[in-house]
Amino acid sequence: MKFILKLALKSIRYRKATLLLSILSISLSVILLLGVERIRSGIHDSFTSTISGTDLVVGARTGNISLLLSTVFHIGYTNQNVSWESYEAISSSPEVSWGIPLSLGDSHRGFPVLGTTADFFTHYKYGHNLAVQPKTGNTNIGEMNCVLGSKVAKELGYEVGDNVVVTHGMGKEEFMKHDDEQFVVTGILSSTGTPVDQTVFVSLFAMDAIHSHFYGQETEEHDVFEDVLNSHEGHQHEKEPNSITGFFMGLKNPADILAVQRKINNYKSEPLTAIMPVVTLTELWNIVRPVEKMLIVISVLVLIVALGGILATLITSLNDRRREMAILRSTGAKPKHIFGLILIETIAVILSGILTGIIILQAVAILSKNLVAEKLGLMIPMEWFTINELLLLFSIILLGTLVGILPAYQSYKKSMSDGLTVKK
Amino acid sequence: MEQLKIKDLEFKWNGQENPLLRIDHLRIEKGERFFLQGESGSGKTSLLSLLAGITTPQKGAIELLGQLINKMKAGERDEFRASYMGYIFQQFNLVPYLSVIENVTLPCQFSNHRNKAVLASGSNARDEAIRLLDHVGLAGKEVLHKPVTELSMGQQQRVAACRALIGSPEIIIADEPTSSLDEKAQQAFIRLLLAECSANQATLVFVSHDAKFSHLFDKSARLENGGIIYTEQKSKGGAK
Repeated sequence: MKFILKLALKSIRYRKATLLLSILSISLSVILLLGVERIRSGIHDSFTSTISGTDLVVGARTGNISLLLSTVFHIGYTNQNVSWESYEAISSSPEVSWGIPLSLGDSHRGFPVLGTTADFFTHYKYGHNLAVQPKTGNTNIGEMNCVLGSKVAKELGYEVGDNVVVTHGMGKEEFMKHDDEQFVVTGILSSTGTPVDQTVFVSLFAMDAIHSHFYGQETEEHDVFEDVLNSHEGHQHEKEPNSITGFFMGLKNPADILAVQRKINNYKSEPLTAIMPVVTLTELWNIVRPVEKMLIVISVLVLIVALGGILATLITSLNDRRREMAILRSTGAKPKHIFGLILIETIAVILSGILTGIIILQAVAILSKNLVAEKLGLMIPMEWFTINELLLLFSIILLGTLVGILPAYQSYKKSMSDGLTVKK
Repeated sequence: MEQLKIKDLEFKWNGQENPLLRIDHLRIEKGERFFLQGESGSGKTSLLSLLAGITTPQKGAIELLGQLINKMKAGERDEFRASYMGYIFQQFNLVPYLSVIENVTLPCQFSNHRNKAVLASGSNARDEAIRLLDHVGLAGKEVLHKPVTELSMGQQQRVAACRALIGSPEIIIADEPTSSLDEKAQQAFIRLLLAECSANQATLVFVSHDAKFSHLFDKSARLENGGIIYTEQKSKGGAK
């Protein structure tokens, strides 16, 4: 059989012009199949780890997904707020390690503005426990400072030191402008591939102060800037807001999560909802799962088409090779040798297609890694093959072998009946 | 001692009504050079398939080297052919993706028997191939390193002859090996083949539709309407 292997390889080399197309079509479908799988798992991973390290997300009573969308993705409005008292009470309970208050509802040229505290940058984690890091400047959102997500800075062309004007309401239509409330950019964050990239971070207290000022809740006319600055410099006491959109929470002991969640959901003084972000992220992902499956199905179909093409090429070529088979038979090759020869050739073509595909895919992935991370905020995993990918590769090889058996059997049969006669 | 014996043979392909071949008696002695003339449609191809053990007759016996090959299983016949038979086709004898030497040594790859025969002579497959090629005037470097598809028809047939002869098989079957050559080359090739067969003490069965070279052989016969008609005989070799 070793000689048959050698024969098959020489035969492939001789036919390389024709086979190159087959190899190429296999490698393209491998690229498609593995590429789709890799992007899918990349999106899935980066999506389900949009927020990590946060045990519970709390907001006013609403659906799990809508709470997640509004607090983590900054999509949609919440009808109700959480009172500051409840936040204080819950976040100071003994099981709780930390809490990050969140206030949403304002926007800056289409990007959501998040009012929060410096704790956000300490405790908010994404991916595999990654912290949000400044790319330039720092994450000081005290006073009238603001910190921009990477995409905000990039699209709007802001740099550290620029002024930012905040608008009320979400969306690009600036129907209510806090005209004189200008924030100064103190930092721009590194790309994370999470909604953080599209967020403008300001201090919760500054945000509240603007609102109070704008809606005239404060009776006296005065400059908000001064107000905030005063409160800061003055008694080290920032004026607390009446209510917030929600808050993130980390517990001391993960075993308490369910108990605390239940407690919050049954909170007496105000109707609240607490969700485990990982669970709800998965629920949300399940909504797009059919699309994900569709992608895989399409790439499998492409693979089948490619294998069908190879089958057609092989079967056509077999007719031209009857003389070669007769020669081999006349020199002592048995039908099983002919079978082996064709099978090995097919498998070798498919394997080289797979190999070419993998090499091209890895090369493209490595070359475009930074670009994809930056432009799409997507971390495509670069490590060696996952179980899923190995399964895919294995099934391609299996399918390819099955495809190879047909022409191999045909030429086996033919070499039996043709024998040494060659019809030219 | 006869090396090839056919008795009361009847053969037809599947689906045929009347036998294509009906050969009562055919004997070829060891070392004999036998010329068989047959027009196309005379059953020539069928007879060669039977001799090579690709097919088996419905009736009668084919004995090669004292063994009844029509009683063998397909695999055994393959083995037998590989070990004891060299076969030369009409044209396009060579595997296009193998070198000249690889083409010549093919039988040594498929048959242990042939390979051992080469080794027993104190050589190896490659050297033996070069020796044979040298005999037929093809051992020059410019020929050895050429892709076989670039050799002339005459050169290709000579390479094929070397392949048939390597490992000294007992029987050489040549199926119109000269029909693609011009007349001058035809005669040269036949003389070369006859000489090499004699040197290897191989029995040669040479088939052609053209009787003009039959006088070069020890014995000749004509295949007509599925039967063998002996023509002239020279009193030479083991012919009877």
